[in-house]
Amino acid sequence: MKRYIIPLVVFVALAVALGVGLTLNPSLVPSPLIGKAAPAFRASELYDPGRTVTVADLRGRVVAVNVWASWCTACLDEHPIVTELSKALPIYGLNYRDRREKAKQWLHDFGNPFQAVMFDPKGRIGMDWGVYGVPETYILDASGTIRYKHIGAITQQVLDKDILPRVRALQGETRS
Amino acid sequence: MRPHLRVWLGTALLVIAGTVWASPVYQFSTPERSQRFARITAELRCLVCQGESVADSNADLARDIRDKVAELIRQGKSDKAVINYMVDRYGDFILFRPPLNPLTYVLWIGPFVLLGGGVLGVLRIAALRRRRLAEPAAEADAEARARIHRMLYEDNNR
Repeated sequence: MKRYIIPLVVFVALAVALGVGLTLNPSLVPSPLIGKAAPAFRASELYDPGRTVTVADLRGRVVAVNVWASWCTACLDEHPIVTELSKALPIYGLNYRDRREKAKQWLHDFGNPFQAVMFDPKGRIGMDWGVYGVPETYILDASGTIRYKHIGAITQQVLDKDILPRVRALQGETRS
Repeated sequence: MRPHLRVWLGTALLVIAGTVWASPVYQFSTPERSQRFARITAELRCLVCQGESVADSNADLARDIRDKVAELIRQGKSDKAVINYMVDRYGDFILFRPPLNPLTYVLWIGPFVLLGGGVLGVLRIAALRRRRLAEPAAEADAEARARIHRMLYEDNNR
């Protein structure tokens, strides 16, 4: 009996470790920017090309940055949820690898929940922020530090369980 | 030329041409820089098509990263600086070979530990078997011999 204990323990340990591994999603790459200041940028505003939006505009209150594009179908899927989120905090859009006219048309057709939209046609700002797919959503605290990143479309569940509680907690931080 | 051969030749040429079209050539001022570019882009993972390197992948992001790596090399940045630039933005996961640090010890050393454990286990079992086989089974011997004797000589006479 005793000599079965060791292989059994090893097997159970391996099974648990590998089983947990199976539930993880390898395409979700954790961001190294969490806890760091949002990377600086200078972007032309989508509707007002002469106006420059910088990272300083994002400071002073808890904001979200939503990376989207008119060619991205998942961005359309999450749009109602993003619109709902925009009632909780200001959202800035980062229009990634898109055409100005197409982006404006998309917002016209589906609604514009953004305070302002940063136009990033070559994806240079996206690369500084570690964007590797669209949509992605960042939550920044009032000091402009990235506190959370969600990769992929935001579902109602993600909004209710992960994002809104964090936003409220961060907004509480600001007040205290 | 036979018609079938013409079709095959045409197809082959198209395939070869296609592979050349798919990969724009990056020009560098020295062959050393070309080699560094090839080596670095082969070590970076394409985050969109995971498993492929940035050198091989056709994804837009891979092309963006290749463009950036080429730009940094032309600016005179070292290999380490280029790698760090990407890791700062995308994290350790962009490297095919994860760095060796306390977080990744399990990843790097784990397989060897498991292998060592397996080898030890096999050796132990083999040693136990050898010991058991070497033991003289004295009692079983005498009993067995008596039964065989009975079966061979006494049962037959019935």
